[in-house]
Amino acid sequence: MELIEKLGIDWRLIIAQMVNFLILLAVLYKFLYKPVLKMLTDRTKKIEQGIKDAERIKDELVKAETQKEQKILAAKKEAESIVLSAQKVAEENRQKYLAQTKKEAQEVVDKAKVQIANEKEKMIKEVRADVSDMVAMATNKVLEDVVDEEVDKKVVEHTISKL
Amino acid sequence: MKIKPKQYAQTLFEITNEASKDQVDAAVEGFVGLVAKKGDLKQWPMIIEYFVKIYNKTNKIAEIRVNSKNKLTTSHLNSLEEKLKKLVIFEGYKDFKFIENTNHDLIGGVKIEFEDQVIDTSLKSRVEQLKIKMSQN
Repeated sequence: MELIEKLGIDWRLIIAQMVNFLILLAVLYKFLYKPVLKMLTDRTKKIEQGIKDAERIKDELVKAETQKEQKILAAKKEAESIVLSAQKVAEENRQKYLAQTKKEAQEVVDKAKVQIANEKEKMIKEVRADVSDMVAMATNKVLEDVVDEEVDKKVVEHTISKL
Repeated sequence: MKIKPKQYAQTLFEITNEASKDQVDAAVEGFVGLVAKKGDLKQWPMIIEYFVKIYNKTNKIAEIRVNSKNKLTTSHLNSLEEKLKKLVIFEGYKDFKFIENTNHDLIGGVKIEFEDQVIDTSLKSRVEQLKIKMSQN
């Protein structure tokens, strides 16, 4: 103790300072350290939560993106399928229409051929009728001049003999 | 009830058939009076026509209308009668009565008409047949 006194160290002061320090420490601990620690802890938690949320959002974004791409792919496939189907139907209709048109054209041609043949036959008949009329007229004329009483007598005799 | 010419003709035939000449005259006179009373005198030509047909049919007389360009000679008519007798349509007929008619349109040959039958061998008809054959071939 005497040594401490000879060194000029006042033990009562030290103790008082130690007590002061402790009181300060306690006060600091209660009013500074703990709130700050709490604040830091809360912040850390918030940051961690934020990071977690961000990661969760990131995952969900990735998932949504994947789903979107899958939907787009499916829609593309369906659109392709519809286009293919429409093309097939269009082609079938085209072929059907072509065949129908060909058939109708052929029918028109056949009908025209028949009509031409009928017209030709009709004309031939008319010409025949006209020619036979003319021949009959000419024959009658000639006979009227040629058949006199004598000839007529012979004709009558011949006719009666053939009865 | 309206009496048809054919019925009149039949009646006239029945009353005159197998009657003597005097009876026929009286019968015809009475018949004409009856027809006049009925107001059917305008049918008289038809009545006579039917009467002739009935008379000819009953007495097996074939009334034949002969059409030719020139009048036929007796020889022709006799030959014609001989030929006609052999035809089936004149089977049973005893007598032939020819009603001659000249028609220049026939050109030549004869056209024979008996009831609703016609035998046309005239040159006009032959030319007509030729015309038909030519138009068909």
